[in-house]
Amino acid sequence: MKHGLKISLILILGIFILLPALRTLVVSFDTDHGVSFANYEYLLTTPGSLIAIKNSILLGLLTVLICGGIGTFLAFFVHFFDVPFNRFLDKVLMLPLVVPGLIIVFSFMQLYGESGLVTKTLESIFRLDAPLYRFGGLSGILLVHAYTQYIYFYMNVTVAIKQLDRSVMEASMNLGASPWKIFSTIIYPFIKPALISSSILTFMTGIGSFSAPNIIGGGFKVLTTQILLSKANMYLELAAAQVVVLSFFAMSYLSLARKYERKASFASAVRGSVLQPVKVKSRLLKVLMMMIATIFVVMIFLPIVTIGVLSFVKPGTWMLEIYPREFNLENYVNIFTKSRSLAPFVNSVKMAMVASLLGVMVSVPVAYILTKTSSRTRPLIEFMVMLPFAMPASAIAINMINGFSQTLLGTWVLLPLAYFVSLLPLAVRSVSLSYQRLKNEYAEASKNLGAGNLMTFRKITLPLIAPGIWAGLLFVFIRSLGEYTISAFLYTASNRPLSIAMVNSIFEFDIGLAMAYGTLVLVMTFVGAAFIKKFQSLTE
Amino acid sequence: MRLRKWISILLVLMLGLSFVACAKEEPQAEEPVVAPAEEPEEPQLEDKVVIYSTHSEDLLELVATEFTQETGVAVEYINLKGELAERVAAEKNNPQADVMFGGASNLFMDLKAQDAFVPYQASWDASIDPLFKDAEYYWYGTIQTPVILFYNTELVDAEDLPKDWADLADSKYAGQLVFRNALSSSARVMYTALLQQFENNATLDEGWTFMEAMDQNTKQYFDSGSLMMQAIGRKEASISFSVLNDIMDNKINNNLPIEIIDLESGSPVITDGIAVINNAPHSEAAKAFVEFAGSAKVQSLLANEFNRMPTHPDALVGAPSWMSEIEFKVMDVDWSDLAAKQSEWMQKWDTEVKSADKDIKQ
Repeated sequence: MKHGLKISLILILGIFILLPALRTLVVSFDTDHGVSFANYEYLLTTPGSLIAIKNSILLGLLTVLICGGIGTFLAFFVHFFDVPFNRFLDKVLMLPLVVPGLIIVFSFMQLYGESGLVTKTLESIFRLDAPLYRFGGLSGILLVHAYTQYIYFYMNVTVAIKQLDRSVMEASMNLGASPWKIFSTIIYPFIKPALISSSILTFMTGIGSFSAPNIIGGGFKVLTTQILLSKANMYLELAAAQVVVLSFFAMSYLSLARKYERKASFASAVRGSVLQPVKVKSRLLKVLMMMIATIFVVMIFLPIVTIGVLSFVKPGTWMLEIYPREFNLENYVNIFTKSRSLAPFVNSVKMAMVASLLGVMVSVPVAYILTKTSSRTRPLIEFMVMLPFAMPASAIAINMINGFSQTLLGTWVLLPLAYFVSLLPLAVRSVSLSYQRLKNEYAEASKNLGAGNLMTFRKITLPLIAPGIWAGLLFVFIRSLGEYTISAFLYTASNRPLSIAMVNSIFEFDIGLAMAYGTLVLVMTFVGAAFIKKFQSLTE
Repeated sequence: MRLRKWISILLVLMLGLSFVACAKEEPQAEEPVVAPAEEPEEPQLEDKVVIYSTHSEDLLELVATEFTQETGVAVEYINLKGELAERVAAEKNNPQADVMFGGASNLFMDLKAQDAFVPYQASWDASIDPLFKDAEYYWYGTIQTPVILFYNTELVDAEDLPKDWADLADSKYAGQLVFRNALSSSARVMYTALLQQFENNATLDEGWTFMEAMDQNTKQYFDSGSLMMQAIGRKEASISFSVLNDIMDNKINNNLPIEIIDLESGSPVITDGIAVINNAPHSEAAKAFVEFAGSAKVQSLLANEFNRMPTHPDALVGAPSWMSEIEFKVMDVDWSDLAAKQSEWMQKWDTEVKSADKDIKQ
């Protein structure tokens, strides 16, 4: 039985993850003149295409730098120093993690775009003829990334700070070390592994980002948007080659960073005393810190509140004016009374459910194999499960198209399958955490007392890992709910999801409706995230 | 245990959601489909039809609702914009849609050559000018869509307007132009038609130089027609091009201060087509939909509701008055030649031309 399970797992992972990726690789060598490097030659010699490649890498690196700066600063700001209201701040700073990127892009457009609320307000306050800044292009994309991606750094560095050993720092201070010396020789080595591992996640999202470059990028071309264009021009082979190039950079960074991470990580000596936040004595400094904290809180809440408020804008108004004037509930009424407006909501919920259930069904056995066994097939399974992590979302979408062009393309199920593939690493990680904390002794004791494998799993293991499973399930669910990139490539008439409906409404200038969809996604996401937190605390 | 409580709440929630999901799934399921009474020998229609389109949600919803009322067939549709043709081609081996509704005639020519359609002779075939249909009944044009340059009358004086497309390369229009990007189906036609004008004079290279110069003057490329209109309305830029129905719609319904510009070499007029997809899963319903969408009744409905110019002469009768009053020169476009070159030129435009300066501008 165990064997059968393993074989079917390998088959599932092979069919849905490995083969589509390989198929893309094969397609990328397809040209009019048979198998050749012509597609790659085009990509690497045409100036416009080279710019897109260069821009993608630039975007990835800048995203890492900016998010690293903000995230690390905030982690120290909130957890190293004794900032007033730090528990509240910590909660607020975690908010953007769950907000779908697409929603942020739209909200930022409405706030900071050329005719945006904040832009126009500043213009009228300072009586300017032209806007103070131009939102869009590289800086616009980076602003969106900064808002959504600093959290990885913030979370990981926070964990590292909490493990800092106060006694070591006090000792070196007593020995006359300067603050800089303490930082560079004690603190920095401690947070370095956290910085590296956060940079991996951030770089991946940076080069794989699609919604921001697609919607506000303007002339700033990156590979992800060029892939969609090649596809629209029916150059699927070229799109495949672009996917391979993009995945190559993602994987190179991943393996490079992993290598450094291994070098940088070290086991801390005997745990000393827990770090107490450093007290700030200067009143001036305190006021300054309060101001910084306020700015961050406002910056984080503003886009979220904007979406909620704009969802009440009366349909058909607000074309020429700067501020919307008429508000009512019509958008929500429309969604819940017109079956065509409700459809995207229903579609997204259904697909998110399919994706999350698939995710659980696969991740529970996979996580078990990865954490509790050491069979010969383990590296293969691990490789296949983690592959989607190293591939940007648009690459996964193109893989699905290439892998299933003869069978599932255009059907309802392909999109939820793609969600499942892209989020599987997340689900596996969540379940693995539970397994790692599960002591083998429990299962052994149960078996010694005469329970069978199934019985042990049902009565002992499952209840103990349940929080991890629920957290994984919800992770996949909320991430699928507002997913845009993969959806843009794969949606069909029968499963048009919320994200696409939002984009269409924005583009047809039904901003209120788009924001009402966005609000629904946000509410469901926040509820889901609250549950995840609950489950995670149960695991610990 | 508290965990159990959470889990049960969650389960109930998900169950509830799935009920909502199921309840709305098949709105037409309860009623058996009856073929229209006037044609009793007509084959049984399937219970739904899937439409891939470039038309707006509003337009599609109206046509779909009317069609369902008349035939009882449920309609699923999506607006794929500039990606429409690719989607139809990509699914050729395993079609998921029944009807391609909208998109310029060159796309239909291209896809016909790829065996993506099946012929269907509509009852109103004889009324349609050969200009607007395929001689072998593979597709019909049901809407005429001129793509026209227009301007904000509060920002530009009439004497400063460009006289022809070539003037748009003039540096006096720097930062004044906003256009759609290459994912818009009308923009794809526009850019390719312009290049074709140059190629016809054997000066394609000059054409690319012109495109680069025009790109220099372009302030922004939009992913959406409405956002572009908003930019013109809010005076972010003064000149743009769009499909005529959008211009009229915003002028009449949204009171935007805009007027069209009649250029010397004319404006291309797209024939928006419709066709039954080869091996369509619901082929009978697909034919019925084509029959319906091209009929004088629906064409006239779209003319009045959405300012779409009909191809059926009978539909012109009750159409809005501006359709007979408006005057502009029509650009001479070779649509079948356009079909062959559009993809290549648009790929080149987007990778080589559009990028040329944008980095500097920011």
